[in-house]
Amino acid sequence: MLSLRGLTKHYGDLAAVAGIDLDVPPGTVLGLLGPNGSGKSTALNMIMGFVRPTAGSVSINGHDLRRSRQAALASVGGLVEGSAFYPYLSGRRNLEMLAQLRGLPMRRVDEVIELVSMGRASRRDFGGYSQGMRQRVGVAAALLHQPSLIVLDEPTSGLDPAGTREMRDLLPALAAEGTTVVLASHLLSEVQQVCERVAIMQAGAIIASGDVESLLSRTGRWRVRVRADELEAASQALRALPRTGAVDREDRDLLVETTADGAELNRALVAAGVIASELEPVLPTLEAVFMELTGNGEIR
Amino acid sequence: MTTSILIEVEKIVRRRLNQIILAVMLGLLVVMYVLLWLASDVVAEAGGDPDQVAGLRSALFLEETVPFAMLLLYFFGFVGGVVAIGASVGSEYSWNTIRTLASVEPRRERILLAKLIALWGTIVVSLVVGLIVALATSTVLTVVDGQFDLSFIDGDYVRESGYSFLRLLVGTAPYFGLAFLLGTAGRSATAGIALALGVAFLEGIVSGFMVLAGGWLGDLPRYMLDQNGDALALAGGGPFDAIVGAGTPLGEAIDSPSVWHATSVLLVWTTLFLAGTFWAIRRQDLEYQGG
Repeated sequence: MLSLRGLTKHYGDLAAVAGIDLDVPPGTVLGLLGPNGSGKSTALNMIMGFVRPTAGSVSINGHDLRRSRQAALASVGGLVEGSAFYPYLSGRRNLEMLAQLRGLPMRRVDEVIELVSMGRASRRDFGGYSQGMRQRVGVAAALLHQPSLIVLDEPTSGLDPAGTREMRDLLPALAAEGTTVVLASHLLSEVQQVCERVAIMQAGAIIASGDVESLLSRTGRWRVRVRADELEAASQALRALPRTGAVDREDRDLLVETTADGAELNRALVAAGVIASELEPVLPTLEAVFMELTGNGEIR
Repeated sequence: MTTSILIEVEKIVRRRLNQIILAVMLGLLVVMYVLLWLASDVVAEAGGDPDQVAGLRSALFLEETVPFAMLLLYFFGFVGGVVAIGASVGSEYSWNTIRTLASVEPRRERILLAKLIALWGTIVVSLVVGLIVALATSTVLTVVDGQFDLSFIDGDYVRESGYSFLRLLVGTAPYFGLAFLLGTAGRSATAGIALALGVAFLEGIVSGFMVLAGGWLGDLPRYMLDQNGDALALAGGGPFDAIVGAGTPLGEAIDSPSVWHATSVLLVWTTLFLAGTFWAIRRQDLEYQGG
């Protein structure tokens, strides 16, 4: 369980994080979204104990980070703003050192290396790794001590498609075992696939948070794509329907903002003498919600 | 803590930069011995002052070489140690590995303590190796000169050599502490190395002017690093007057501090630098530095 209360970080006059409140229950995958400079990384850095809050508190599994720092951070693993290891040591040796420092058996290193599919490459020097390989070592380090809270900042950055898919499969699997995951990513489709809950930040504040489904239904626009030969007549017929908003033309189709169902739309089109060859619901996306809430991802 | 220290030692030993520093230090030691040996030959052949030649050679031969070896180790060890410490501490920031360490050990002062013990331990071992190389080189030169004789080795010789080594450690300690502080507070190897070396070299010049100015200003260098470091480096004796500028107005003006005074002052500075380092790391925000 992660709990943030009034978490604030000031750099001079700039409020990088401006008093955010957030609760992430155990076994939840939370997506933390926001434009560049919205305060995501600063918030994650404070959760990881790297950056001291100006005000407010971070509580991890009931341990206040300021008062019981060691107990709070013992169950946290993370990869925030890139993986950091000694370039002249192999990926494996870097992980072995962390395992030694945590008092873990060496077989745990083998397990995480297998989990992130590093194989024999783990024996090469970290300095010679590609971005994707570095990310894999970083994720392996985050998972090494089987933490109950994992904080990941753009974990698929630099990963190949197979690695991205593995990561996408890994996070829900971890959550199913009771691990809480906080995932910051700019890949909104990825967040929509993986996360149950999201929090959207802008200018240091959380401007929306909740279940992905409820966020989509609360702010997302439900639209239907209509393909017909007589688009002008179809457009007039659909505009006349109740519970219908904008009707926009897109190539040979109409995009109709409506909560009416397909049968209702079809009936109106037939009554207007229009034969529709296709009616397709266009589901709201997290990207659309994000753009709407943040004013097209504007940096403030 | 033992695990942390051993891991720090491994990081130091396996780093190529540190291996190069040690190799250069040992190489320079041998080169200095050989160069002075050749120089003494040249001076002798040119009909130079026999006392001067004898003094120069005696510093190279086994019986009286310890003060000379310590002086060389003081300079090379000081530069090498500052570079090794500054690079070791600063790189943790430039590689962001300080964040990785901090995520494993939330008590940051323990990270620093392990690093401090490992670095100082490695430097002490390196200085011992340097001393052994110097003595070995001196032995070769003594044998070549046909004067090989170990009868001078007695309790006093061993004891004085031990004291010399302790003075070497105390003399270099504040500079190592300063590199530690600046590397940590400046969050970079450049800050640790350049500023610590800069302070070391500039302080000598500045304190020289202060001494020449006289009065209370002239007394201040007695409580700074340079004069006290020199006092310890030269406490073993040897033909090294030129180093403190003997015969020059500055040399005449310096009232060299006693060994105890120098030791006390340098240890106080070392403690202050280390306390500052621990204070700095506790208060720091460990932001990502790119890379």
